[in-house]
Amino acid sequence: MDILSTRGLDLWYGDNQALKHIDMDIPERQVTALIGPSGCGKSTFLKTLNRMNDLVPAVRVEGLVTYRERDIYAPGTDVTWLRRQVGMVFQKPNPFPMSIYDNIAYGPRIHGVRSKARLDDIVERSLKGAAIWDEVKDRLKKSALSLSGGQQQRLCIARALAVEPDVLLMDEATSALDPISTSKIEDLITELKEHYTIIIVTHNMQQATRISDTCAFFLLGELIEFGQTTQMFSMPRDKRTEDYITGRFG
Amino acid sequence: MRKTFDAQLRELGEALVDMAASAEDAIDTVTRSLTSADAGTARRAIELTRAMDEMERGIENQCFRLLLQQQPVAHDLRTISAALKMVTDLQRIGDQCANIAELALLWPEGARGVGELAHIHAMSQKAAIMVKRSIHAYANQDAEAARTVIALDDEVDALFVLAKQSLVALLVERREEADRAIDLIIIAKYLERIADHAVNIARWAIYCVTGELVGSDLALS
Repeated sequence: MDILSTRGLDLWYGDNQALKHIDMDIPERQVTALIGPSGCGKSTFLKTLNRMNDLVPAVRVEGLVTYRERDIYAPGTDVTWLRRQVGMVFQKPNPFPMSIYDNIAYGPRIHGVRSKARLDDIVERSLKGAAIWDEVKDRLKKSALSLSGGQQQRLCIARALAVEPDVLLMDEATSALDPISTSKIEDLITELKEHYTIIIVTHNMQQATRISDTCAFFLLGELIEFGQTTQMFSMPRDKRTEDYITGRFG
Repeated sequence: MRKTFDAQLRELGEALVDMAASAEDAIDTVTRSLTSADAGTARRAIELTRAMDEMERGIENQCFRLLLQQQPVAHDLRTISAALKMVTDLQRIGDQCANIAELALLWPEGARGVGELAHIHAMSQKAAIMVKRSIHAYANQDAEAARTVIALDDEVDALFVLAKQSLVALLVERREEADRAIDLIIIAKYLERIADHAVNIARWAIYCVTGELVGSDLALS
């Protein structure tokens, strides 16, 4: 079952076309990795999936993007609703300058949850879901900024989980982390795919092979190859994919 | 780009070609030892196979180092994993040659040079050709050449049947030659196994080029 699909997706930043006619079907409850050299369009593509590009000036999107068969660029689409369904975690951990507890409770409060017991439950469940509960349960009132980089990133994942999304987008979510924190997040991603669809952008080929089920290779705004990760990294179909993943690009 | 890695991959291919040349040499030498007047030829064959054991360790080390340092994917990964599999087949070919040489060494000096070896000679020649072609198919990335190796195996199998028939006849007609006839049947079987190892090497050569392992459902996807 495909949860997100694009058909003939074009995107321009002013005169510069960043995505060229992308057709892609993203399978539900799998990890999909987007790879490609800098400037290839992979992060731009990721951001079209929850309309984060709306915030960029002079951006123009054409073609179809559907989430559970709903056209997310149709007039009248509730973008807040969309971003609740399709959450995002960024490259640099960006906890709010408030307590660990309030970081997690922030989203649910915006969406109208007021009960203390209910919020307590969401905070605990989200932190457990992001595999950080045991490390922070005794200091929930402490500032989130006191956490290490790896813990902050897991906190951001917990914050994304708190609003019970369907899909998680991760834009190079481990590139600023040390190997131990990276492996914790990779393990977490593998566990999360039981309940969530996860789409990651990564420059780390080994990470893509370790944790993704399907993989998409972008080059100069085009989708060059899309398929099973094991297939792509053992027998890529396109010479350009082979050149990129084996480091012989350019 | 990746000049060092490409040079290392070339060195790996060259090491395999060298080891295959030693395997051919061992097959040829051990076959000559069956008709040679002295034990020296058989001993030389054994020395060759010992050198092949050393080469195997060297190639394995090259492969492990490349896996560790380069974290290869795609064609690079297939090249190195195929090398790791092929080197084992080459080493087994060495073992089979050593086994043949050890049987030959047990024969009394006067027993060498007796006839009935035509089929065994033919098997030996074909097996040596198969080993050479299979490694060259790998080195040249030539899947078609590798397929011809697999086709040759039927000819070796047919020769084995003929060798066995003539040796059974020898066994019946000349009881005093029974021990040697049985040894020669075993030797023919060893040669037939060498051809099988060459087929394995050819299959890995094809895998390296196409990503498909002939005669197996191995698929990473």
